[in-house]
Amino acid sequence: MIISIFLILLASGFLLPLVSCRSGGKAVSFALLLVLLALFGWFCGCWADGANEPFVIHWLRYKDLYVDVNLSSVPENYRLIFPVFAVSVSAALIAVFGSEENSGSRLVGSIFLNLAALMLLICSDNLIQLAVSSAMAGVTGFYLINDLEARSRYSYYNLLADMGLFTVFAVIYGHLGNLDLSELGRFEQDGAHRDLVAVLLLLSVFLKSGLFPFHNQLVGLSAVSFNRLNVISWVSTPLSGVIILSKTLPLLSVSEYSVPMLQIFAVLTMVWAFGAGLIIDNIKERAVYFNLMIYAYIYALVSLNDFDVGFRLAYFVLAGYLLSAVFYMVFVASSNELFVSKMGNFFRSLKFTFLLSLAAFVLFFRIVLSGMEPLNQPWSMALLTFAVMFGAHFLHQAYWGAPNADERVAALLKNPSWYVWLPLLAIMLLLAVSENGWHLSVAYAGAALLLFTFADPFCRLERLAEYEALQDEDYFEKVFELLLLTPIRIFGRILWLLVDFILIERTIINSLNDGTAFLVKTASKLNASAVWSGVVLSLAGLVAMVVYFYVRG
Amino acid sequence: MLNTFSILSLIIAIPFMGMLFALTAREDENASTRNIYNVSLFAVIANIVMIWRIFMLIDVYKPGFQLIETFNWMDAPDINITFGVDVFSLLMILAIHIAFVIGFLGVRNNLVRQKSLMVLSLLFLSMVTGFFVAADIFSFYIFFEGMLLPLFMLMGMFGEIRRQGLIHRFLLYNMLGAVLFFVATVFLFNYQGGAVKLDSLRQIELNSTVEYFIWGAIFVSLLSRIPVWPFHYWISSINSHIKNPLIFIISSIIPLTGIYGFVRFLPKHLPDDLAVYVMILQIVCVVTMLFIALIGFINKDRQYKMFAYITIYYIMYLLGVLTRVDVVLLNIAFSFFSYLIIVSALEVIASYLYKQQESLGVSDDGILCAVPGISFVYSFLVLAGIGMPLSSLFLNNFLILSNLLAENIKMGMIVVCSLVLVSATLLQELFRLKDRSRLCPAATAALDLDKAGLAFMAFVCFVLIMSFVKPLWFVLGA
Repeated sequence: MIISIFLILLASGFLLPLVSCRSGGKAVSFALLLVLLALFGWFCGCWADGANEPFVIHWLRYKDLYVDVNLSSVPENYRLIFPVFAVSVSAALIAVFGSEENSGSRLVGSIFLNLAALMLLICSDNLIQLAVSSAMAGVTGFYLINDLEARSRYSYYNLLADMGLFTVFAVIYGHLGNLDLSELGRFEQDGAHRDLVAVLLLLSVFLKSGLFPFHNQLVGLSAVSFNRLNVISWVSTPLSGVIILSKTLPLLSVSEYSVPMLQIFAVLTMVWAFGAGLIIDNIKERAVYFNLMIYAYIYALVSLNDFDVGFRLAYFVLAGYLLSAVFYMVFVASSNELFVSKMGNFFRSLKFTFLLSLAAFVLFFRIVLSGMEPLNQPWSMALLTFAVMFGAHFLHQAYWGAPNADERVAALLKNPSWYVWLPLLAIMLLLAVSENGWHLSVAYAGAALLLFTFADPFCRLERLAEYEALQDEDYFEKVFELLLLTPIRIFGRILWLLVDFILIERTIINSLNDGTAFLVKTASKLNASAVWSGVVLSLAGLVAMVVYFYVRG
Repeated sequence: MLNTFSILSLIIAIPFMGMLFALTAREDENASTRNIYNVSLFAVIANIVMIWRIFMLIDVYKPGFQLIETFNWMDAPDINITFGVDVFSLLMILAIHIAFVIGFLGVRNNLVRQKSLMVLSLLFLSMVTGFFVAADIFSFYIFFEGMLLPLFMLMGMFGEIRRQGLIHRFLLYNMLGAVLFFVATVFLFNYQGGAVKLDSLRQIELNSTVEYFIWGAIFVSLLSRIPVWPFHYWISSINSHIKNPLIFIISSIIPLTGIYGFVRFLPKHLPDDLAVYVMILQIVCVVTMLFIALIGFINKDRQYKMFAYITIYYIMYLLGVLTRVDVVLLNIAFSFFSYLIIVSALEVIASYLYKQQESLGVSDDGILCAVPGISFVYSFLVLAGIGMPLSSLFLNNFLILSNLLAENIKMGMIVVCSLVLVSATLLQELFRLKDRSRLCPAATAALDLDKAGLAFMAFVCFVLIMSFVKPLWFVLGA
């Protein structure tokens, strides 16, 4: 069943450029949406029926290399594909009915291909399928981003991540001679270059997920539409990083650096995202920072070996998307106002949106608290605290703070249309009735959120919105430029001048030219003057004889 | 029913006959020039059909030469010309032919010495096909050197600025290679008492006195064709001055002949004495890779960036060949197939953009924004070229790298770094061409490829994707 959906998605995504035309663009995107909804319905129906169909196709068979493609319809795969599918449907709905996109059909086509790539990734059971699907997700991400600057940054980070993964998998295959993920345990026992493998793997997934200090690529996505941003944040490369790590978990134990590295990056990301999220004025960037906190938390749980990916990751994807939508709803309701400092006192006009936002936060708290155990308690509490503070600060600024919106925004303020909130409501209902139990602590967290929303302790940070040095400057880009790119450029230029120009062109080739010219000149002089040439030739003969007798002894 | 006995000779003869036709046609009228072009294109496409037929006739998984054809050349000394193919050589021939078709698309509106261009290109194609079907050392040598003649003339006619100096350099290195190779061939002929078959060459055992000389001479002559330091300089000098896409593609095929030589000549079991030199060669290779990748990254010249990309991949393939693992050799062939197509298509598009830029008198920054069709194809080719899963480069590079990393992790890591740098170089160029903020208003008048051109490029993309799905997808039952 999953294979059928995968093939339909792939075919539709590839055929789209052929049928898409400007005049019929809306009709095509609507038809695509219907196809996606039908596929989603089919998917849910099969899952509910408990369909369990293993599907493995032998992709390549030559010499001693065997590569399979696994797209089995088994419960673990269903569970993780479901949130990806649900988010994709929601995003497609917004793309088709919303006004943010010029070409909704292109976005829906990219969503189709992205979903297919994620399906392939989730079902992977060998290194090649993992690498192919991860790179496929990278390529679809490339097409999902329609801003050049953001796309170029994303491409460079992803290139590094994919090459890192490629190298890790190549080292493993070179050592084990086997591509199955189930064989990774053998590498744990007698693997080579263990530290390199573990460190490179972690750096690659951090790059994919945009963890600190590689978050620039995701922050840079503020130039694309909010809907695209949400899709990339929750069902594209950042998620693929987590899935890849979860599939290669045995590799973490091959090096003693793995766990500290995971935890250090998780802490740094969480703290940085929290701090930057409070200060930053751009609503899209703020949403990105919130997402990063959640990803950092997920990585922290992975480091504790306390994360059932197939089960809890699904909830986190849905809950994370819901929270992104909290920011998105305010953005849409305020006629695409980008700066939070130009909002305030929206509650009067956006009561329904505010309630939805509160519900989204409460459900998020529930997801975090339901998985809290003594082992992960510090991390869970940290995330909860940060989420409450972060959320409260935003809700206060948008709904309760001083009215800073300009007249146009204030006049056009209205709750988002049905295609925005309806899928969110469906996701909320789903999370509300899911098998996780409700705890009293969820109510405490919700109450804390409300309390801090009314009395925002960070309200003084609002004045930082005016500081361009904080809001617009990209210090990380400058650091990378200074520490990484500039030395490469200088080194390259020195090599170019020194080796190509001075050594080869000016020394070797010029010497050859000069040597040849000298020989030619000497030969012509020998021909020109009989006496002089006779003397020289006699001397040369004499020298040759002396050398000959000297060598012979 | 086709007589399989002569089919290999036929694929050498078809471009040669096309060349003869072009040679006898007049060039003074437009219609004739167009006719020359059409017949040349037809000859290449007809040959592609023949090559496809050969794929059907051979067992693609069987090692060693198949469809052997032998022609007696001389009785005293007893020299035969022997042809034969295996999946490696046949894939190379097919890729080169497809690259030629792509190159022909790039020169279809060329008005400068079109006849000479077609004649010499077809002659080169005939020679290079002969080189890949050669199954004994004499045939190999004849075609190895034979392809230099049309190449030399093409460089002289279309090599653009500083061509005299470049041609001298080109001649110098290749003559050196030719002489060394010839001496080694004669030596082997005498040593073995007859012409040596290429598939038995790797198993040949020589005494230590001669093996230094034989392998040394052969490898230096092969290396002179590959952009390994210090030979990279003449190739880079030539490549960065060629503006004609077909000539660029032809000059980019030259290193392939060197790599192919290594595939055929490198002994299966290296004598200990030679192993040291192979290690030195590997060191030179990885240093060259990093060196060229760095220079390509900082260089602003489009052609040099392209050269850097081509070089890095060629050297990676050479390193793969030096591992002497059969499965790696097969993957190199699969990877080469996509690589040649990608390089050719990128060069044709780049040259088309250059012409547009020249005719409009503007910078080419952001020019892709004005030509959406080309922009899509160019993006696709760059993504495929940097090893995304859009062509057979992806999987096959993985296998080559896994062997390199398994053999020597440091060497493998340098190769990976070079690949990253050169991929960043290609992306850099792509984003420069797509940068709308730098697009000159006059550049918006740039023309997109016509429908036929775009359809052909879409077909090229399709071929690449299919090569990813299954490298031998076009061989029924493979």
